Amino acid sequence: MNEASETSIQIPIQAVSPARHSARRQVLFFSCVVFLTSVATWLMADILWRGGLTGLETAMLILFAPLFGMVALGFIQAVVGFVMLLRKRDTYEITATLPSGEPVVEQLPPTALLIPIYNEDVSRVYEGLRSMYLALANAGLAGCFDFFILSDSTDPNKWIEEEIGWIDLCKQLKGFGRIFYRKRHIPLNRKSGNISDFCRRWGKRYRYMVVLDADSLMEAKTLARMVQLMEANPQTGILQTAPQPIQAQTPLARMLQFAGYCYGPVFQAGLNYWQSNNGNFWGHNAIIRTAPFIEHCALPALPGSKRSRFMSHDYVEAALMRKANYEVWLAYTLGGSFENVPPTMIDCAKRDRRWCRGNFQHSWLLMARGLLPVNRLHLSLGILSYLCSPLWLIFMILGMMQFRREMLAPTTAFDADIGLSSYLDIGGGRLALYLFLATLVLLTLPKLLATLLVLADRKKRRDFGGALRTVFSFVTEHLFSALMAPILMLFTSLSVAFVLLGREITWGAQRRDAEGIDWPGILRAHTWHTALGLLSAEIAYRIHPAFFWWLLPVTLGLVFSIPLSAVLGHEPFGRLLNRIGLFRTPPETEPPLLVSHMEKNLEICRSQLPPPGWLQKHYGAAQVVIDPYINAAHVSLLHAKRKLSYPLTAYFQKLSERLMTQGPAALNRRELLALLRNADSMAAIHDRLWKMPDRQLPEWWKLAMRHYNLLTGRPRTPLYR
Amino acid sequence: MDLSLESITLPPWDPARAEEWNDAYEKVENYLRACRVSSHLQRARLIALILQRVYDRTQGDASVAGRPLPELAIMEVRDRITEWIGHHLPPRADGHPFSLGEGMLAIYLCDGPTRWPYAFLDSHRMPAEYAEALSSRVVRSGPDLAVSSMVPRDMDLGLMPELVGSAMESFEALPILKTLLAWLVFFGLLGFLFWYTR
Repeated sequence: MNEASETSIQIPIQAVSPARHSARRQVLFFSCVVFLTSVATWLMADILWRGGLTGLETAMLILFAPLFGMVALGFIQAVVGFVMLLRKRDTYEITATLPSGEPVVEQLPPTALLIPIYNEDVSRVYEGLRSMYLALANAGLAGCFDFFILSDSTDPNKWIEEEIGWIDLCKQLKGFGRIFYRKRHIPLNRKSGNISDFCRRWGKRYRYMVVLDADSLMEAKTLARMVQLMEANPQTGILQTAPQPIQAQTPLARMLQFAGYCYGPVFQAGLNYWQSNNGNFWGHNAIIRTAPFIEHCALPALPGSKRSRFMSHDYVEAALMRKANYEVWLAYTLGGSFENVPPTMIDCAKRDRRWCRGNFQHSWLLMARGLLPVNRLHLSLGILSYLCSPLWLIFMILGMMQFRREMLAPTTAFDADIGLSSYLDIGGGRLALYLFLATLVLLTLPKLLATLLVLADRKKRRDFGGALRTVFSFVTEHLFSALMAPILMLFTSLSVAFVLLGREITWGAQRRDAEGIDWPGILRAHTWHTALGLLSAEIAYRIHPAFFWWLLPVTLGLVFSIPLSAVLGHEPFGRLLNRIGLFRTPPETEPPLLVSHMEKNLEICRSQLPPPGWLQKHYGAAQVVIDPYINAAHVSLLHAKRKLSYPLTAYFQKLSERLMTQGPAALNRRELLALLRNADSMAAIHDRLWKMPDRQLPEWWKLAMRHYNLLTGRPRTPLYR
Repeated sequence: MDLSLESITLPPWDPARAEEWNDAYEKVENYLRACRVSSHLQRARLIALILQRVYDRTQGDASVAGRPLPELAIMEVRDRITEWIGHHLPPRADGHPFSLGEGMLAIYLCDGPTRWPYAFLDSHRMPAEYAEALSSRVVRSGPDLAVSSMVPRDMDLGLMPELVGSAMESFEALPILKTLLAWLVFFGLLGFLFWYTR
């Protein structure tokens, strides 16, 4: 690959200077949001102010304003997006600058595709990579892109699987020199540290880098177009695509997938309307101009004695890029960009827990010097999106208290004609009902508008399984979303409480695929939801039977959270829904070649016979010790170490002895990783094990060798052979 | 040195060491299987050859006396692989011979035993294609480095975050303060409930 600086591209640049217009759009957009919010807050004040405001009512009013503001923001965004999509053209859309004609390999500068991984499903990662590599090769574009698998895995099995899989993949694709593998032994600063590590080592070689997630997939045409767009817009620092969900198996994942395809475009178009060149980075499926990223986007440590780093680095990097005067765009119409969605509610909660902490860390930057106001807004909205859950919870508790107070001492004339209601000739109760209904409309209308857009287009209608199925999917999705909302609210509230109390949230690997129902996990996660739901229903009923019915939409989801979570995470049920066409999406009607190719290969991978449980737990270590080829490959991939000090040598000897005599179970994960990182020890253990007469072999190794020898004609690997 | 697979004879029958020879046989067979030599015929020929060499060594080399036969057999098979690979890999730039590990990796990368099952350790049956595949195999886990400096710039977080940051540092240094605060919140909650229920 040539140096980035040596590549000279001549693509006519179509000037986009949206700064003035984007400011006008932002003023218009947020004026609408503020208008709606202030009117609703005024109505709320009118409802609460019946002869003065008590402390409780004041608190409710203060909470109501930001909560309604977020609802209004979503609504206005969707309405604007709907209008933009109806017009079929947004003047300030980055893809409008796309040069015409097919991309030509000679015209594309060197680009790195980065796949940071952390204890992921290796087969899924590598089969995705294979599909993208082959797609690029078929398009004649393979020469422009280098793939980098950047591993931070801390599971010894995953590490070895990754190494073997990488070698196998390169052998199968003849990809040595195009597909690279880097394993960091100390995963410093998580994903952002991993990307920075790449930048420091190889960043200078590539003009652009496409950051992917472990479950990302991008079509060759999309990748080429992203590079073309960056070339055509030299001021663009980050170009974010809108990833579309794929491979949904469980009912929940299918619902999210349906929502992504049906409602997503409307919200994305609205988002692009107000943010235009002040967009955001979502952490993956985006292309980044490497040089300014290296220069401006290294993340500082956070204040505090722990000196921790940003967990959600993407928003901060976008803000730093904007601070350096580079634009950040959302290419929402580009297509060909895919990702997986969490299969269960618990997986959703886990992901949200991580994001919640990351977003709260952004509060440090709200007043940082030099950031653009719009980036401060992005950071604030990120924080508020998580803070809304506990605020809703508090608002509801205050509402219950207020209702109880009204019941106990009905001295204030709630239904009397005071304030606005006196002019409209309706009581406060009726006014409250109207405000409630208006809020419901604001929540429902965006989805309805998006569904109408689908229904109005013949091709889209067909892609979603027909008009009847689309409407049925919309109604069902809406119903289940309403049932799930209070559960997710409690999950997020708990996460916020953890963050505020400074409790550490571990960076656990995501469960990227459905594995059936995990009853113990579901019971652990939802028992307290059920208890809280029952308690709330009981209290509501005691306050007033009518209040029980008012609160039912909230308590119903909570009370039935356990069966709901089980049903929504049940893969066979998801397949049944697929068969009857519920939540049907375009990639299911017409599967993209890239996705179907990967799914076919993954099916073959997963049909391999897994090793027995006792061996599976330490399969990686067993492979490195027993298999002469894997041992050689592993040792060769480790860096040559300088001569170790005596205590270290003694330490590794002690670990080696324990591994040899007692098997891998005698070592904890950290010890096993340390030993696997020491090339001399691994070569010596392999040699010693094979030289030992069978009779003297420790029991675990004797069994492992026998088992391995039975399978060595076709040992299990992450890829099919 | 090339291995000749012609005129191989097994070591002569020795009832005193028969079990040990059997162990050595099994060990070599397992090792060859782990090397993906799937052909039974090729494995049998190689095992016989290795055992014969071990036998010759036990007869002529006093330094190996008393060492277990399985160990000698594995040493022998690994020595043969190193020697065989040395014939087919191009010389290293530093003039040192290739290690066994490098040789094994080269074999693994070109899938030698799977693609040419009868050529493993047998230079007489070595197809030119195999030799070429072996010599051209290299692993590069990353391209040549092009080092950049990527260091965080100083960021002025503003007065409030700086103050909160330093307060947090002091707060974290005094865990007793955390506990006190937690109790204060608890007492506050009790007080609120008392007030609310009056």
